[in-house]
Amino acid sequence: MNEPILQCTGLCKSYGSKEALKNITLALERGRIVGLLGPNGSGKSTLIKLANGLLTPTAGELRIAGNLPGTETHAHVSYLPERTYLSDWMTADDLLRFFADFYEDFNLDKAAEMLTRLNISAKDALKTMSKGTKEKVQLVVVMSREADLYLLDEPIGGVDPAARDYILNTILTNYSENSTVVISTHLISDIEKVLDDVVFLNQGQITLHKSVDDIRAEYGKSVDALFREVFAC
Amino acid sequence: MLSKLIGHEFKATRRIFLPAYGVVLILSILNGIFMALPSNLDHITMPFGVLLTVYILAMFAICVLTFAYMISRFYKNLLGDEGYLMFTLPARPSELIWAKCMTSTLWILLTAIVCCISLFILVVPAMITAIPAGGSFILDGTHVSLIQYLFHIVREIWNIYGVHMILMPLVFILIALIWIANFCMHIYACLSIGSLANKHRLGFSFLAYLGFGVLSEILLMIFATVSDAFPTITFDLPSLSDIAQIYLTILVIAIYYLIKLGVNFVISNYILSKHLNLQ
Repeated sequence: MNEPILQCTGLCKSYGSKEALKNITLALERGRIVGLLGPNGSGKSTLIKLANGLLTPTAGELRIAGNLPGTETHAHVSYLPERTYLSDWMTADDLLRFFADFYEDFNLDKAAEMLTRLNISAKDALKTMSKGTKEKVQLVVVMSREADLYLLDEPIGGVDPAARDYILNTILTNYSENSTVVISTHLISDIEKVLDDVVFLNQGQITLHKSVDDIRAEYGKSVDALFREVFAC
Repeated sequence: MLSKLIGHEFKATRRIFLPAYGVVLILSILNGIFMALPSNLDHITMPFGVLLTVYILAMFAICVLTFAYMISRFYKNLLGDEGYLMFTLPARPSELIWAKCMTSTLWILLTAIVCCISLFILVVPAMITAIPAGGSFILDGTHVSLIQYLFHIVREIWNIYGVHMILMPLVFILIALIWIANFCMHIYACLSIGSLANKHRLGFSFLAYLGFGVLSEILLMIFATVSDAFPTITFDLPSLSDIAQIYLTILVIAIYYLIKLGVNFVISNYILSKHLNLQ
């Protein structure tokens, strides 16, 4: 159980001549909510996509609970991409059934209840929904899984502030103490209150990996203030 | 997992194909009715012409749709944004590929069958109206009905070919399925190769398609040259009956396309398993 839920060793990823990740070595423990923070283009999405096996590393390796990304890890990782991956022809209900069909850890009742709380009709076709509503539906299905690791790429970027609070509350209340949530975002002030640890990523390299308490004690400032200082243009 | 993926794939595609088949079949019924009407009704010439044109366009459209949808389902659902969901399912890439291939193969076969049924519907009313006055055919000097006449033809064929009358069409359907599956898998292999590029992926897929064409020609030329060098190699087996030779030929063709199917699958599976790069 002491094995890190996510471990990168000398991880590199290049797109042609552009290096997106440079020799990343990182270990994330179980039972933590981790903020993966960095400016645009720092490599946050690349790291999360590598953890989901959607990209292949150029060098090094990444393991989820000791396994390379693949069928086994997909069953235990719940992933929210930064884009909409839904098929427009489906209704929200179709999507819930799809998840229930493919993921053994999917809680259909919880998902239906969350849709109701967000005033989303399960009978509505996804193509009739706004971009923000689609993002909410996507987050609902992702958070309705009882996974070991949640990888959320910009989960609150496109939703209104009222829904943002509900979503953060959902993230806090929906994960068990043995699972880890990784939230990639640059809206730090909104999520700071839920984070246990932060990882700063800059130009493909990790510049900081500390707990939020340590940051406050060591630097005497909030994560948001530290981020603004470190990444000042 | 494969059965679940196929089930989902059918659900995603049937909403397109079933209505399209319905439209084609309705158009063929309407055209069939018009064709059965007496030809001296001048006032129906214009609407019949329009209806026939619409029918021909619908037949063309359904074939294009089947081909285009086979490509688009793979490209959009696996290599596009929807791939973010499909490739994070607890399913192997090979299962994702086979689910697409099997579903597309079946839709292509169904489209071909629907086109044949549609043409049959189109001509049957006209054939029935063309039955000689008195509604009977002459067989061995006696008058028989259309059904009896058709039954006689089937019995004659059975007398000549026996069980092969049923077996041969089944074998042809099987080989058609293998050919179609290889056709789909070949397109998937080209799209997978195209996905290795950082941009202009469809363009690179097309180049891969052309590249395979050139490679195939070269291999055929080499094979022809080698065959000429060894003239004693022959596939002529005079000891076998004609029907056995036909089956043997079909078997050789089936093995040839199964090998091609296997190669195309290995290429697609290798790229999507080991070098997946969704953008």
